[in-house]
Amino acid sequence: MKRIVPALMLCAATLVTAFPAAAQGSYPSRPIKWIVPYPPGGGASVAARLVQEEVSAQLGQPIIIENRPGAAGAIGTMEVSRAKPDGYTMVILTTTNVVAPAVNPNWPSDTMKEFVPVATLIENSSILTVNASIPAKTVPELVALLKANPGKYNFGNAGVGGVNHLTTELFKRLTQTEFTQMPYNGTGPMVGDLLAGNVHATFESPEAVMSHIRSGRIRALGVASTTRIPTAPDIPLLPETLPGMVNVSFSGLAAPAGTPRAVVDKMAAAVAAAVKSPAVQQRLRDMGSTGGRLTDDFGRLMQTEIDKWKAVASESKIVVKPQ
Amino acid sequence: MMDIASGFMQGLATAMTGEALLFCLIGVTIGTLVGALPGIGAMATISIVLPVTFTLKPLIGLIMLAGIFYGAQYGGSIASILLSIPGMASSAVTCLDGYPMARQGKAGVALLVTSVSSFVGGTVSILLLMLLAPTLAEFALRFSSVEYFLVMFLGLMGSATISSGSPVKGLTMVVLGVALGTVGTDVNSGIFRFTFGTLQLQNGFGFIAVAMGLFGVAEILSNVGKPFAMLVSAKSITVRSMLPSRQEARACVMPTVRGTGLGALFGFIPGAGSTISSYMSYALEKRLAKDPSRFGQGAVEGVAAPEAANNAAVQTSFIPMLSLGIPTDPTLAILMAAMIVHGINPGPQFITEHAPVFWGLVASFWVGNVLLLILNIPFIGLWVRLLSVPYKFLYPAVLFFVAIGVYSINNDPFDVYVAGLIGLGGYLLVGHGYPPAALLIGLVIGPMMEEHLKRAMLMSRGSFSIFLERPISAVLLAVIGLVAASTVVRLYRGRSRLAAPANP
Repeated sequence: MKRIVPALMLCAATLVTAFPAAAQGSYPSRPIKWIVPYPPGGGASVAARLVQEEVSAQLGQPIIIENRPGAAGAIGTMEVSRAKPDGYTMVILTTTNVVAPAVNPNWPSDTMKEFVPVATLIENSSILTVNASIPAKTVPELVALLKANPGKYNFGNAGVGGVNHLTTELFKRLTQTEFTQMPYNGTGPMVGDLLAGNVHATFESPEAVMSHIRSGRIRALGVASTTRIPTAPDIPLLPETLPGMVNVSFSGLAAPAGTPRAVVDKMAAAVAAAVKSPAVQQRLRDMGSTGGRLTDDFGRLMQTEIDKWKAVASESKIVVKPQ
Repeated sequence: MMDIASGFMQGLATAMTGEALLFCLIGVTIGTLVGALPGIGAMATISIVLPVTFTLKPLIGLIMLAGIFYGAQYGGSIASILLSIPGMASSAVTCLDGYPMARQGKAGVALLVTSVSSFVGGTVSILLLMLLAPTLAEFALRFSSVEYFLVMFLGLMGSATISSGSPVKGLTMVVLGVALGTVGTDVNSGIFRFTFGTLQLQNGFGFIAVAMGLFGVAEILSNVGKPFAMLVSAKSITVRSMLPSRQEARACVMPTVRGTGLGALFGFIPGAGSTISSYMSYALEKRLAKDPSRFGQGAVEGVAAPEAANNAAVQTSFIPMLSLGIPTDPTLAILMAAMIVHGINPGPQFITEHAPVFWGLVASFWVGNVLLLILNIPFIGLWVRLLSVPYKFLYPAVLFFVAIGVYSINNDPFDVYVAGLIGLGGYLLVGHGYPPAALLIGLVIGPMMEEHLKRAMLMSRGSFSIFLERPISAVLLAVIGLVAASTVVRLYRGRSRLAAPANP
């Protein structure tokens, strides 16, 4: 008998705290969750953590980053698309969300329908690099070399169905050349083989290859962008010799469709301010990247990329086909 | 040489400042805890702690993160010895002899031997890192998928013999592990295999879920209904009981040396350096021992060698990352990301451009290993006391932690189901003498072997002669041939020895 009353009081106390805090007043009134659909340590997590503190300070509420990896990003993506569109659950979308719909017929998410874009955190374009032993210093030289030796050279990519795989296919189509694609599970091993000479060329993101370009083991032939990289202005622009040879890799914040516009704008403003901060700007420059593209602009970027990769995938007949 | 010495002294000065020492201590402590607890591993912990390091000076943050990484190798052996539940893949072989030692009341000895041999392995590797980083990095570059495939094949071959029972059963488990490893996504085509539509299986069976099931759940199930109430009585834990006998201590020396050698050599193998090293060193010790039947029953060499190997491997795995900017482990990739975010780009320029950071980091490895040794020894008594908890409390608690640990990997109950089902199956297999450790290495190495073989074939455009054309792989092929031949000879001799008594 003696123990029942305190026990009941303890139960009552815990029950009281279990009632969800009603969202009152202006947004945000409680912590916000950013879901990263990839294992910790990847580009998406780095992007999110880059701005986490500053955005929390701007909004006055903590941003909690949660990794929900699995199914190449599908699990986390689906979780947020089904979440309540109240602005307290958001997702980090990446290039996967614009490429996967093009190559994977079973990709369960319609990026543009299910999400409202908020802002990009990190954006960059791939650099075409070759091993220093390859006798080609410019893109026309490389194309000539490839045409003279069809099937001899290896282009590495960090994953089948990934943006660089598709970019390489785009390159193949635009230059009408023949070479072997060697897929890897991740950038690390691929760059290792590039340095060793087992892979002759690759399209990769700036932060993966910049330090090696500087060391001279690999040579940059061009960047798949219409603007030069500020920290490497001597890398030529690929679209100048190969029109259409453009890609964008990004990590950006998005909210489930139906999230009120005011909420989206408020978050976008906070992210924009965070990205403009000197610390983040410095980091972005170090990574050869930019960031801070907002809402509708971000949406337009994603739509362009989705359409582009759909075309490339169907023409090159790339399908990542589950059983 | 002078550069190296002066660089190291400067680095030591930086690493011994109060701030560096404090964060090194925090890092290795967290690492040990995380390595000992099932489920959450070094990789997840480092990513969670990563934002905290943004507020610290770059070197200090790196010291802490690296401390978590190699500290986890120390911790991984604790649960292996006490409960036969490996904290990570490279600690699985430690269960084979460490756990029997614990059951014989020699848990303290096992833990002490692990700490010391880990320290030796780590320290020697750091020395190699300091003296030979660029050379070893160049050597690592000469390895391609062709060589990696052969090394892994060698590792698998050796692992079939680690069981104390019939080698056929060992081989069966290896093959079963490889078969389980085929579930998931194919590297070259992106096709999903054996997932039957399950989203969670697209990356294959999680290693932790399988290991927890095979070792944890199966072990607990097999102890249900057994008569004895606890492993060790509290009265028998004294300082004396932690010290190895002189004979045991002497027996550990050469295994530790050999383990260190193997680990330092294979540390740079992508993704599997410490696992392959620990399995191979165990197989090597068993092969070299005068009485191989002791292995699996509590042979102290079987604890010293793999632990030295995995710690040595973990230190040398830094070499490709620091010298070339190539992370050979997903965890190292996160460390590299941490460095990049701080504006330090590892790679060929790193050692020259950021010499203070490089030497500070290397010196902190050494400091960290010392701290780990000092930290672990007093705790041995505490850990051993854990075994005096009666089974009826201990095992449900362990099961609880295993479930939470497995869930924490992906925040997905699916992994817990996997652990449970594999545990049930494992219970049946282990009960019939099939070694679980062999399945684990098959699961870990199998998919990697396939990836490397496919890539080797891509590189050679389908010709198998590439294995003979490249010098290192030709050597590896010769080694594989020798090992296979000697195994066959042994089996044949063993059979004729058995037949002999029948003939007067």
